[in-house]
Amino acid sequence: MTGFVLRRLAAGGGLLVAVSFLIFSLLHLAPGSPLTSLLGGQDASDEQIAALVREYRLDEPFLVQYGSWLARAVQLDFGRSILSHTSALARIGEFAPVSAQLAALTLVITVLVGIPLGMAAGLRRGRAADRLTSFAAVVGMSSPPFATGVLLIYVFGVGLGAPVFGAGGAGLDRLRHLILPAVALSIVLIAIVVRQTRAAVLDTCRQDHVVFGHARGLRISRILTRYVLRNSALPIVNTVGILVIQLAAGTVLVESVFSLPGIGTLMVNSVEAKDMPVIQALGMLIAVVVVLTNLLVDLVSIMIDPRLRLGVRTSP
Amino acid sequence: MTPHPPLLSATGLTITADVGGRPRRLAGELDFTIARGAALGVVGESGSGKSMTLRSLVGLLPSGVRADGEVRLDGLQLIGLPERRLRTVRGERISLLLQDPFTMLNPLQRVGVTLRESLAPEIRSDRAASREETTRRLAEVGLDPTVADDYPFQLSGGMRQRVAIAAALGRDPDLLLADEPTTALDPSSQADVLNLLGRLRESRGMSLILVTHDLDVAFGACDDVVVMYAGAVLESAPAGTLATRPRHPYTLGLLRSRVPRDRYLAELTSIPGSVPAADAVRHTCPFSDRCSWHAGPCRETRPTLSPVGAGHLTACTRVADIGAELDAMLADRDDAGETRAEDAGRPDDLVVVGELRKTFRSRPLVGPGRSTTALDGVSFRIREGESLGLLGESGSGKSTIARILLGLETADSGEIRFGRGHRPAVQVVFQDPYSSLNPSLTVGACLREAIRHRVPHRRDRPVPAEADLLALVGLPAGYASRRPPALSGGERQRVAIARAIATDPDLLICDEPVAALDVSVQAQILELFRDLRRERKIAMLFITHDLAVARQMTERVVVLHRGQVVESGETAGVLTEPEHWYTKRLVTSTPGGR
Repeated sequence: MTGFVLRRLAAGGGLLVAVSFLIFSLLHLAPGSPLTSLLGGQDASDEQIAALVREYRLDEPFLVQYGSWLARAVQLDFGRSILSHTSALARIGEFAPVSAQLAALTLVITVLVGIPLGMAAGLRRGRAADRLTSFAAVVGMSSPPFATGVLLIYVFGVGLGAPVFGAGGAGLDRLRHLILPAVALSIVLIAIVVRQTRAAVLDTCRQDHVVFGHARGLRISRILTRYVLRNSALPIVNTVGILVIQLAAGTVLVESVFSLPGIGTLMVNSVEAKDMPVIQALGMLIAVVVVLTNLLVDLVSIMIDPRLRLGVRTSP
Repeated sequence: MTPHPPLLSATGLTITADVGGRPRRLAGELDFTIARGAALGVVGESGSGKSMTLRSLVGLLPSGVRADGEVRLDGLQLIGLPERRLRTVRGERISLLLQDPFTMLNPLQRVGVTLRESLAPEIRSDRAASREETTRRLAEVGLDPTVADDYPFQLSGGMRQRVAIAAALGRDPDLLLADEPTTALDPSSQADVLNLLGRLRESRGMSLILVTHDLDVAFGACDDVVVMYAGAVLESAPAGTLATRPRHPYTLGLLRSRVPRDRYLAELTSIPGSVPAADAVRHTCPFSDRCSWHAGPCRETRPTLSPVGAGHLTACTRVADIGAELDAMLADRDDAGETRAEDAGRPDDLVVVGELRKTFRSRPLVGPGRSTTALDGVSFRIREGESLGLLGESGSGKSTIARILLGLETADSGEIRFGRGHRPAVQVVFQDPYSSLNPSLTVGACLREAIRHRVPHRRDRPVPAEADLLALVGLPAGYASRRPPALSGGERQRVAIARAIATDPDLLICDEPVAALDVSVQAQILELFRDLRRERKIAMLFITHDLAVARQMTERVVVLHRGQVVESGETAGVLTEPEHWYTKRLVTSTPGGR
């Protein structure tokens, strides 16, 4: 088990190095010299320029520059933000909590609503409840979050006075501010989870072992959890993993609709201002989230299915 | 037979599927009873409705299929019983064992958990007691206590079926329904599992309904046997009576279609045609189209069961006229002698296989990789025009040999030499005609595709026409425009054979080509292979686990066990006087002995 985790971590590390190379190259691919990119179009004294050249080793070959950037990136030093003049990481730290909370809330809603709905639809295949759920899933999948967001603001904010602007304070107030954006984000995701779960449950219910469970008079709750849900879990876990990755980078429109100071907003601002250190740090952050999510999905899959853990014999 | 009222009796049981809003009958007007402690065999081919009938008894029909009529368990009407009540019947009174041990057990659950959840609630709630009980249940089916810690995928098919039996009997039901419980197993485990079922029935005083396509299995394990065909019961009798004095032409046909393993038959008997849909024969004798004795009345009304002896019922209305003929035909087959029509092959070698080795490696996500030796130094030769049998159970490596000869797999070491100096054209007929044909290609397109891919050194020969190929395998030319889903299993296998023959092969590999087919159709296909050999002198490699098939289809056999050749020689000699212990076990293990 630990061997597997170490192997996957090593592979993930390799992947991150490759991504870091691409991200560093941005500095050189962007229009203008790296120096102008790093200055962000602001005036600078000769001393400041000399300091930057020294810091980024701009007078040395490309690979040496990359090596020194990587060495500092590993120590979480991505340089100073051009906009805020603080370190790039500190700048991300200002915006990340809101996004992380929004993503977590969205995920909780998606899983708690999507999986039971999908199971219910799969178990009642072809009946009214299934047809309604499947129809709603198609509608949900084709409603863009920013549009649902505007609708939610109109109904709940304008109509019922729910908070729709900014992230609010801490604790419950934060939750109240995040609930509408989370709902707006989760509608499409719920639709995806519902469809995947329904398909997986349909497939599992056709399996002999479910019929055999009924034939032995097992309780329906046991068949639903230990038989149907567990055996449908692998595709569902994989889907949720993909949704997490999507949430890591894809909340920008909803943040802007609800005026939330999150990673999406930071990303747009940084790109507009050509705030290269922050852009690079954000890129690496998202890459790390993707690698860790995939590792987590694999670990959960292994926990669910002993065949992955122990290896299937090729012959009896 | 018994003074007590029957444990379960079905009257007018009818099973209907809803196909696109239109009801289609799968089985109709079935009457049967089973006494306490008795074993009832239900024999039928695919499409007879036997599995659906069995499932209807515990209310486990697939969605869209419904049952009507009366099924009484100790007076309790089961048909139409609400699901909530049915749950108290299932497991407790009636349990159902399915065919495939590879899919029947929850793959994510250890055997011990599966057994414990199957026990009665009062034992289940006590951890220590349930552990003890689990061990006892494992012992009852002949398994070690340590099996409780295994996952199903770590066990062999036979062991899984034993676990499933123990689970099905967890709450000590009065009646066990078993749907082809041995069909997916190797012959040696088949006999073991059947014996186990018989022993458990006796020790527990339990009743058993055993559904099977194999008459010998039913005769060996059951007191009474019911013969089903196209959704109807055609005959019902005590096992011994049915075996020796059948009173329905279909039963006679089934008895005569059995392929004997103790002697060679110059001509294998089969029932012409194939099983009709139950719905199409609702108002006639279902068998009349394939019956050589049918007369006017057979096609006018649906015959009902009427008594012809002690506990013996038949649905044949002409039984008074043809009874003597039926007896004579059954006796006639028993007299058939041993004469071989085929020449024993020319002495030149076609293919010589030497010291073939192959190891498969699997790499799990966690832990070390495993390797399985499929072939461990296998050598044999196939002569020109000869039919060689490759006998072995699953895991013996026989299919790996086929794949290597076909070039679908590469051996790790060893050699394959060709007598003619060039690679002979090799073709294959697979076991399952339901998956070996592309369902979206018409039969004609499938054959044309094969014709286009004839090997270069055969291009000088005349190109076969589709119609000729179809005629060769006994199908009308009109079948060229059909697609596989519209064909029966036997017809599909004929198409698969035509496709193999289209390339004009020197060697035809037949990988269990009749194992997935109905009894009455198996002999048709085997006869077709014989005709092809007589006419075309094709050498054949006949891969099978079935000694009867090997007896009828091959001159020599090679017996494989765990990737090694343990015995080889003339078929008759090896099967009559086996020398290796493994061959001996194969020869003695098949139920019924035939």
